Amino acid sequence: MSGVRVWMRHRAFVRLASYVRGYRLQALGTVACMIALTACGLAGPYLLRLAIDRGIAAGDLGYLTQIAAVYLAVSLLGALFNGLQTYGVNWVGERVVRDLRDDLFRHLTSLDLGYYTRQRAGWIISRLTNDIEALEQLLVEGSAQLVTNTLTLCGAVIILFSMDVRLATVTMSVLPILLAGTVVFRMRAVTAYRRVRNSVGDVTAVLQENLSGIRVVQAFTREADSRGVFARVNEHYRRANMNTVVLSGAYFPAVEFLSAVATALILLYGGHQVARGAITVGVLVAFIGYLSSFFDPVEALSDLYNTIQSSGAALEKILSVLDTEPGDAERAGGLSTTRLAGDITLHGVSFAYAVEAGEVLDRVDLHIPAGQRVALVGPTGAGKSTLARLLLRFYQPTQGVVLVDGIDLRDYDVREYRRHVGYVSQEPYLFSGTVLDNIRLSRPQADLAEVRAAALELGIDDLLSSLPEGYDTRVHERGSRLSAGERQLVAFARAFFAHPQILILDEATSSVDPGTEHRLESALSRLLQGRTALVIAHRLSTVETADRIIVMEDGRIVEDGGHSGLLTQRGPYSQLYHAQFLARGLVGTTHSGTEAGRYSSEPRQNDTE
Amino acid sequence: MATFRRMMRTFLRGHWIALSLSLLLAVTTTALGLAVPWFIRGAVDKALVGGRTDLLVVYAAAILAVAALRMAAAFGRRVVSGRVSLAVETEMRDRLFSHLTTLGFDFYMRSQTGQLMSRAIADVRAVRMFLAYGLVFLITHTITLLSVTAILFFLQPRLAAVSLIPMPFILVTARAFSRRLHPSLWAVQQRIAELTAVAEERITGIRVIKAFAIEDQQQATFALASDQIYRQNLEAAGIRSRYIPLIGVMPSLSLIIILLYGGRMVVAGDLTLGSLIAFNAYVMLLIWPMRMLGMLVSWAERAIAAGERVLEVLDERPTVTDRSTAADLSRLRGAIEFRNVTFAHDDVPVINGISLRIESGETVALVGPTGCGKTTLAHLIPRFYDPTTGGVLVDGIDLRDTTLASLRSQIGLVDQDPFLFSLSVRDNIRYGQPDASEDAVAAAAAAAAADDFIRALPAGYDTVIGERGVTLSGGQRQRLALARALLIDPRILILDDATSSVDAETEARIVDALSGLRGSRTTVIVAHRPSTVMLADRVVLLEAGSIRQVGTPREVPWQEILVADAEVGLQGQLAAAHRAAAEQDARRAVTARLAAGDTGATP
Repeated sequence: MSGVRVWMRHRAFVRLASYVRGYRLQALGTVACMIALTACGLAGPYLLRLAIDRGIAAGDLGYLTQIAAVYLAVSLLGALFNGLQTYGVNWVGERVVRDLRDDLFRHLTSLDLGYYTRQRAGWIISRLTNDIEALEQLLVEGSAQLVTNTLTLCGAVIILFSMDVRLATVTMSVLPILLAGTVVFRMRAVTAYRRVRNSVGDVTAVLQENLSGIRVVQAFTREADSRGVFARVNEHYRRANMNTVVLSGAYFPAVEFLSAVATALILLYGGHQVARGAITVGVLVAFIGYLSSFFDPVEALSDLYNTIQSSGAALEKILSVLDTEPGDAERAGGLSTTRLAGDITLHGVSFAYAVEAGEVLDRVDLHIPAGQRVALVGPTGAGKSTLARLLLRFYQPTQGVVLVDGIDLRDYDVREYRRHVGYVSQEPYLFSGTVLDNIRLSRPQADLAEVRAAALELGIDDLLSSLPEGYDTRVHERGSRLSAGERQLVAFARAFFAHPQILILDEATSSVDPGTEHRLESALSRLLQGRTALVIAHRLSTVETADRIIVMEDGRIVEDGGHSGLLTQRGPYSQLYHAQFLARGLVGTTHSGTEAGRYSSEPRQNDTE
Repeated sequence: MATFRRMMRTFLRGHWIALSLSLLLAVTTTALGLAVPWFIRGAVDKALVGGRTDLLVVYAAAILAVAALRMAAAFGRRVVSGRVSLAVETEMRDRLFSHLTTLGFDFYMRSQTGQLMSRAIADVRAVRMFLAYGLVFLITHTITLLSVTAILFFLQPRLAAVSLIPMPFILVTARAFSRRLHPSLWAVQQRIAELTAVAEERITGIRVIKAFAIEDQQQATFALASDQIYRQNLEAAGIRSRYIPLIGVMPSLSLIIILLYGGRMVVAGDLTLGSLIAFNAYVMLLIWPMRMLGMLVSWAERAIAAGERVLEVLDERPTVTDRSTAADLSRLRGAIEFRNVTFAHDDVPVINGISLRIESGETVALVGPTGCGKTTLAHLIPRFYDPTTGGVLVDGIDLRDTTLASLRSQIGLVDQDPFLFSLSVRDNIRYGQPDASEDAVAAAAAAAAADDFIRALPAGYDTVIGERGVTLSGGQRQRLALARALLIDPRILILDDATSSVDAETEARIVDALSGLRGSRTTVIVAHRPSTVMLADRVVLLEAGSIRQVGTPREVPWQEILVADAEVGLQGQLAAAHRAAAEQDARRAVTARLAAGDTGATP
């Protein structure tokens, strides 16, 4: 690892420590318990030595009893400190983890949508779950391991040297081999375990994909191929795991062997010392007793290295999210407004999602007076939805300016502003919960009666009431228990319930059946009185009733006017209109598919997607 | 216990020799481990106390020799049992997956992908860990326990009897600990899963949160879920902090007894100093097996539960399989016949006696309100289900007398929400025929009006789609799925609202291409839009699982169902007349769904 990386990681851990600061006292108390626990643990072999030398060898039964009593007291104290330490480290660690997780989520919700386009949802969620869990492991298990094992190791070395320097030196002679072996093992293990993790990921991915797409697999009778692919990743997984089995299979027995070597050395050298009267039998026994006090910590600390590595990486990723500045679109502060009129102006607005990507909007000029109902039509990719997103200030124009009520959109407080804008998209996202909860998203404290009143006004109360459990019908991930049309209805009601002054409907009723769509339409023309509405539609039927129709193509406005006026111009709108007219109108005059093919010879729009 | 025996039989078949070897090596390792305190005892008594310093070398050498043997045995044990356990796991998982690929639509309708994943990954791992390690530990620990106890009684029976008193309590406490901790840890996992769900929803739905400016409210929801994890973790910490010190202190009690009682015996000359030290060392050897045995019971319980979940999947019988007498179909002409077909999902009738003949080369549109059974009817053709009564025939042959592979390889199916794999665009299109040529792929893409947009993708036909690649729009996905279906040159093409997300002009191009390509191909269209009905030679109007009317598009009043308000403007009179009926249909659809008790009969 390069110096820069070490420094970065160091900085990362310093920032993590700042989260502990709020629980300073508890953390210090916990560390004190760890120290006391270690001391109690180290006392055992020493007490045994005293008991053998001064009690048993000297035949002093009173002293033996005293030592036994001390041993009992130390054990009980050790248990007490162990309990306190376990609880304390969890208390502090889990709180830090919770605080960090909350901070991370809060920060995520403040980031602009550009961030969410650049980062995949899975990646972001992994920061909130996997990385946080990795940190939790370090904070809760790792920190206790680190403190107690380091202390035990140091304590054992000090005690051994204070008992007998020469025997201690002989005993320690195995330490270099142990350390070198551990470093080699650890380095290999890091790669080996990474391979295991990757191969587990592959197994999961193949499994997930084939189970989700099982219909396609079966429809195309590719079961055997799928089984082949799965067997292959499964075999990779087995091999990667086998690697770690061999590695740890060599390391752990080798450490045990070294421990036996140390025992033999103590017996051989110490035995002669005892015979010469240089040390007592008790010292020799204590030495053998302390062996586990430095073999065990070395193993534990080598394990810990893994934890520190992975949690360090996790922490860096978490901090990279926390350090991401929200884009201008999300900048807080600015004019707060209790009421908007809904007058919208675009001045030379251009927009590109990324610098290298092309411009989606190209110097658009547009004025929509308050209260007007505007339909936006044009082929896919013309920039209709992007225009809608700019109006929501999901993104800022790369050039030009969007004005609402004559004020630059950038000057509003973004959240305040958005509360006045209702937005329904083609594939509305519903949260799990009931239909009721989804509709009252903007005002969770609203009761059923209020929600139903809004649905009644929209003319869809009967439809929502007739769902399996009415308004209490539960919506699952992506609203899978409701049909696409029903989801759109809920999203519609949800937007309407927030009483927006500006309403943006982006293909909002594409999956609603025509009968219901018509009911919504007629309700809307009533409800939209005095509100500004921007309706994006593929189906031109929804467009005709608008006050004004704007046709977009390639990021520009190519036509602007009323339905009948545009039809007589025989421009893009009338072409679009006639293509659809023919598609539907022909039905009455022909039943043959071959004949129907004729209408495709109509003039066609460029169909960019 | 029956499950356990079945698990052993099912999963360990073919591995008994390797398992026995691993057990043998484990016992050897254990036995060799028992030798070291014995040598120390000898060294202390004979060499140190007895003054025969020359024997020290012998004892040291003996310790080294035993340790070396032990290292070899332990290495062998780890490698052998690792190999067996991984083989068992890999086999189990392969078997489970193979089995899953044979299960039909009915199974997948009632199973969640996440559930199946956790069975194939976590449960399989739990079973293998226990079968391969747990069983070996159970045996070796029991052996350690018995032999150490025997040695202790041999050394000094009275001391053994007294000093072993705290030991059984370790076992009992460890068991109680494991029993209490496990549900608590499980609850932690539950809380984490809940938080993950909350996070996932908020991240995916971030646009809604921003559009409604409800960030604060959502942060509160998240913080609540986050706090739940904290609380549950703290509960688990409470259990740990009570039991761990308790289990830790018990062996110390044994050591204190040895010191106090054994020390007196040494002073009284009833016990040698070496034996006392060996006693100490042997009792230490008991701690780990005692703890483990206490936990092994819970471990076994969990493994059995996991094994049950795995076996449950393996016990699922595929409902649609090749009969032993099934014959391969030759190239189909494509005539389809439904003969008195009824079909029920979980006893809810979906199709109630449908008889219909579709001629070879004919294009038929199935039209009807949501939940009327049109998709289910279409899915009977590739035999995704078998009818409850009656039969489906192609070219006069009952589907149940044909092999699935020969049938499905001649049918192309495109869903409304098609599934694409995380492969390149090219590999997705030639999914049904992986050896298809470049030209064939391009031709299929062109026919599905997908060629243009594919070429505009970053890497054209080599662009990888899905999680790790480019995200496509709904319309683009539908067109790729159509190309995929067309590539295999199916004799029967089934389009289930396959162009719903495609804009009108592109749809027109597809319709054009399809009509040109059709030739003698039979096409069944589940139609949701007027434009697709136009393709049909005949329209079948369905209602509540029965056929209401069959005829040419002119004869059948399908507009009742599909009337769009394009016609409200264009053919106002017509639409006005039908609107009431359409509304009634929509309501009926909802009621029908209510009756079905789920999202409708269409899978």
